[in-house]
Amino acid sequence: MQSKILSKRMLLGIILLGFILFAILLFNFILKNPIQGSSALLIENVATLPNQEYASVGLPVRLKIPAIGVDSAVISVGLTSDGAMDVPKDPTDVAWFNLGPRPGESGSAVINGHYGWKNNIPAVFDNLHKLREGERISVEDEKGVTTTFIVREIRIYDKDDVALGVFESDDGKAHLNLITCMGDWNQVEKTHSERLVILTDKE
Amino acid sequence: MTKVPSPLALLAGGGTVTYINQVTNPGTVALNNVLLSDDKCSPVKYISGDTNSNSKLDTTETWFYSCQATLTKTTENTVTASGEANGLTARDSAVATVVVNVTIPKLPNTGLPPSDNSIPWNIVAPVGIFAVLALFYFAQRKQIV
Repeated sequence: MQSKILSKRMLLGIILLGFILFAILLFNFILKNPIQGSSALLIENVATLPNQEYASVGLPVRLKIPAIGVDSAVISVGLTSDGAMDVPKDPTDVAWFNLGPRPGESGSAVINGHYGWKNNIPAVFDNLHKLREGERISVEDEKGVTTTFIVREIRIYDKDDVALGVFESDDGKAHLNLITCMGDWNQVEKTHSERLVILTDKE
Repeated sequence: MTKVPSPLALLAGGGTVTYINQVTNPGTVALNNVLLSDDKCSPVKYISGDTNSNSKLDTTETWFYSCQATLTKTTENTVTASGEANGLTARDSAVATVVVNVTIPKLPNTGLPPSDNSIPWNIVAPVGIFAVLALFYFAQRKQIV
């Protein structure tokens, strides 16, 4: 009789343990996969015109950086709810900021991409820090036209810095600036401590 | 006529805007001497639309014009089109506003933790559940025996 009660208790304990284990696994799974959940798009495709064929530069569709083996699709993003440039949902894509100029237009076009990804999946800008001044970056637009840019400067910003000189320029020339994360991971704020910015000029 | 700016909004500091103007003739007679003028953008350049190349805006045609301007603050501008037929002048106008923002976007968050994400939860979770169920099954079986 006593052994039967003991066995029932053991069974109950195993079931309870199972539920706890399942809850922990589920909690961890949700925690580790928020990715873009908090970055709701406020504005998307703002620059879309009904007569886009008359715009001087087409929408960017592909970014190529031969020096670090990047050949990625370009998606269009706006701002998140907290006023930051949004990011691509896929680690292999890059995102063009559609509230600024298109790559090749006068002003500073901005493209970002991920650094580091879950399950050791490579991210598009894992090797962006290896780029050096003078190296080439090219952007293909929807019309098949390729515009080439030359790396001019490499900057590192703190994550909370005001990004002066990244999203705007006043020299009347065309620039393309690339952004990704770097530095230490901040577990509390769920972000890296710094941002790597590659500033380029149209060739 | 219609006037569409690209982009509709600019970041702090401003930038270049391209206006696309579209002109049609809703009348019954083709219009001569079609002219466009913009109060805050010049020159307004003809792009295309005169399909039969007779320099007249026919009732079936849509003519496209473009103009580029550099803006540093929120700007509303008006384009006016005019054309002549049978000694009369037809006019129309369109207004567009481009907003120049006062704040610079924050830098994007493009990273995920490099080490924490090495656990393949999509595999671990189902295996864990299966293990618990198996334990439950064997415990119950032992009880019956």
